[in-house]
Amino acid sequence: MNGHTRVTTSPIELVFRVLVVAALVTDAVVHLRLAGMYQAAAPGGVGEGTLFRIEAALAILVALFVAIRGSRAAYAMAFVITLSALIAVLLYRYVNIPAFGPIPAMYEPVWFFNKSLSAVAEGIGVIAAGAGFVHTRRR
Amino acid sequence: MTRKPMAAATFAAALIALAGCGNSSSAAPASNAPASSAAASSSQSAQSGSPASSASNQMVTIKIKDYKYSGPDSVSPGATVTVMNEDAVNHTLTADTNGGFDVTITAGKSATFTAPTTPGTYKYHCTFHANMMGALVVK
Repeated sequence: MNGHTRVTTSPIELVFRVLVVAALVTDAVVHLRLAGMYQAAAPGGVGEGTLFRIEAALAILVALFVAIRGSRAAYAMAFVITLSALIAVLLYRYVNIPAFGPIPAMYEPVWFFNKSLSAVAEGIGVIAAGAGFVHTRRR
Repeated sequence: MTRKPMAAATFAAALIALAGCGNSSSAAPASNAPASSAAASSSQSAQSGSPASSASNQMVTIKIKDYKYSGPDSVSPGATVTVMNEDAVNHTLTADTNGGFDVTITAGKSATFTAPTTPGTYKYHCTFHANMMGALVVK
């Protein structure tokens, strides 16, 4: 015995991990693709494109964390990132929120392919991250 | 399952997610179109008829609200077109083909351009929001 414990992952945990990583990467790619155009459309405050890039960077970092580590902390972070992104996209789709502080007005009362794709990915990410958190043993 | 194959599986899922959303048509970069007005070319994308003998002094308005264009069914050749942006974000009204009109309308403001002098149907779009499209009928 060398004192190391062999870490195993159940198939269901693996499914959750794959789903969370896929959701976060999809979210990041969509936000990066739209960032340039949205910065020009809403340049007030820090600009909508900057917010999109911050969201994408956080999503990529957390995706790596989940992929490499797969710990409860990683799933918790993924849950927070995907849930906050989902709340933001739904809020700005249905509520005309004026600019406040560094946040520009971003009301966009339409759905289109990329936006729908990222919203669906965020929804899947929330569910999978929550399930992953519950099913993953402490490490 | 050990950690290495698991990480490989999640990485593969990330690649699949990347490939899955890489075929969108809305990836055009934002342009820095002039903020005031731009005269339209009379030689682009004419479909039928001959150029008007003289420019019209007709004045028409196209309204942008909730990410949709609305305006008259047709305009006279050379008409002065005012574009009113009632949204909280910037938009453009940009001819699909080169050499046409291209105006950026700041949130809550208006901009003016001159309609082409050659009769035809001129499709346009918003550079910042790929799902926004319309057509200017000159006759």
